[in-house]
Amino acid sequence: MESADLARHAGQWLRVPGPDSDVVLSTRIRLARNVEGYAFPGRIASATRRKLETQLRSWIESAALADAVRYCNLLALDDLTRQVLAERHLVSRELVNGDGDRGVSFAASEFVSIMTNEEDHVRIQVIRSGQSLDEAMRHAVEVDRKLEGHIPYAWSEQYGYLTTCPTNVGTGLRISVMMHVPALVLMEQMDKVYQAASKVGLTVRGFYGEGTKAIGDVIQISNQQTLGRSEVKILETLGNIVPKIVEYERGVRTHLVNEKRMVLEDRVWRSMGTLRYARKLSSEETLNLLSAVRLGVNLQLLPNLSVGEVNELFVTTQPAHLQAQEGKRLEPEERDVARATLLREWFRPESN
Amino acid sequence: MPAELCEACGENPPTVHYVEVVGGEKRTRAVCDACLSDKGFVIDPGVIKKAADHLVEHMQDLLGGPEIGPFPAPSQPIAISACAGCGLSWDDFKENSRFGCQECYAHFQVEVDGVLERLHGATLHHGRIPKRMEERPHRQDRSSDIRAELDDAIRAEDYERAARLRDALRTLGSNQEPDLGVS
Repeated sequence: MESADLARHAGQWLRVPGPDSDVVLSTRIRLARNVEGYAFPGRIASATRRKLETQLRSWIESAALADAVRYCNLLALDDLTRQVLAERHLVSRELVNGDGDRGVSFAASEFVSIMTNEEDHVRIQVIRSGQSLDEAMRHAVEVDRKLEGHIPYAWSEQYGYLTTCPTNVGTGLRISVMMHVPALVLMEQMDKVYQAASKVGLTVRGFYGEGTKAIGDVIQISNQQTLGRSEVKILETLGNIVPKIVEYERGVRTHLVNEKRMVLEDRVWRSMGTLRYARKLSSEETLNLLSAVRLGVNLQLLPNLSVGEVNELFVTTQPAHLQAQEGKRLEPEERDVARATLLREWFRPESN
Repeated sequence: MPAELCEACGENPPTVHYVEVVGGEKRTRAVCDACLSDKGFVIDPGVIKKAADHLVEHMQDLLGGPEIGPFPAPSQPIAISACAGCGLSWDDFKENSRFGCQECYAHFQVEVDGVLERLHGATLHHGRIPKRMEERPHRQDRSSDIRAELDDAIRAEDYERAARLRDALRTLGSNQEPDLGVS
């Protein structure tokens, strides 16, 4: 696999903005599945693990998923390529950092990826741009239906789909919606979002997942409960709350534009200034700057830029992506220089 | 009417009322703390806490509220054998919260139910079924199975289990096979 090619662009799901993309970055559906008769990956013998990985690969290939899918064994990929896949959310950090035979299958569009021998034998993931709960869910179920024609899933009448971790058992379903909420963060309204979400059993996390803060004003909202509540109910819960947060963020943005236009413009243009002229930029600072620019684009302060372009920069300025584009390993400080160079080039005054 | 006094010393107001059964005869006694310990009764705060926790748990079950706060799960006095499927012990599980194989769920069922109740507030799946399972005929009998179990639970006065089964029946009653636009 050519990680350099992959690293130059974001996946289609992020490049082409979906519904409500002024606030919603992406919708992700994950289904956890295991194969009947095999110990879970954490406790499987390595020879059996290898056999199962080969078997899973052939099952996935025979399922003939509409999206042409290619499969790679992680052991065959170099470390940088694995990191690139993780930064694109095609594989989890856990799969990258794991050991033994394990793999991933994904299509060129990167809408669907199927991990094998991660925490569970099979992890189906569907990502869509913007608020796309129903469509993403339909897609995930379609993939699941095709796979189950070949894979005998471990399932029990009482507990549903059986998973390594009891937090996933039942439906095995995790829905995560990634949202960009700079106005709510700026006006210190996030506590209300956290409270509203936890009241209906949802969790809110930062960009990098569990326990992280909302770097770049990006949050992930997802369901916690997987047992005793059907897929439809879980979908409904997210479907109720996400539009409310979208409206809330938009309302506060309008308020900012009307009441504090200068504060807002100042923040957007200072960020543009830094992106145009800085010589060293860390990942975290970049996320915060891009967040301000994204807000500027959505408020029509920066007419020459599109949301899709800014989304893409969120992905391509990450550490492994930078190194893959440069074609070599970079020390953290060299990365900051490379990142600033890429962004300076991108935000050159004459180009936008 | 004069204030009630401790039956033993006749001085302090009683703090404990208890029922004594002597020779098949029931008597209600009222004594103060001091006399209670003289009589060899020691009020063990642990026992009281346990009783209180038990009561609270029952109340929560009956009220359908979430299990919250400082009420530890009842400790498991009997040693639990390792999973026959993969050799995982319950201690292994407690260490990293991961099961070793699908058999673990059946093998540690009692413990698993406790964990799932805490995590999800439920112990019964509600949702999609693999195609090959849908074809199994006994699935239609699911609610009558549960009803029979519920009767057993009530007879055995296992109200925790009864409450769970009753919830399960209720969800099953409203259970529409989810329509996700894919057949």
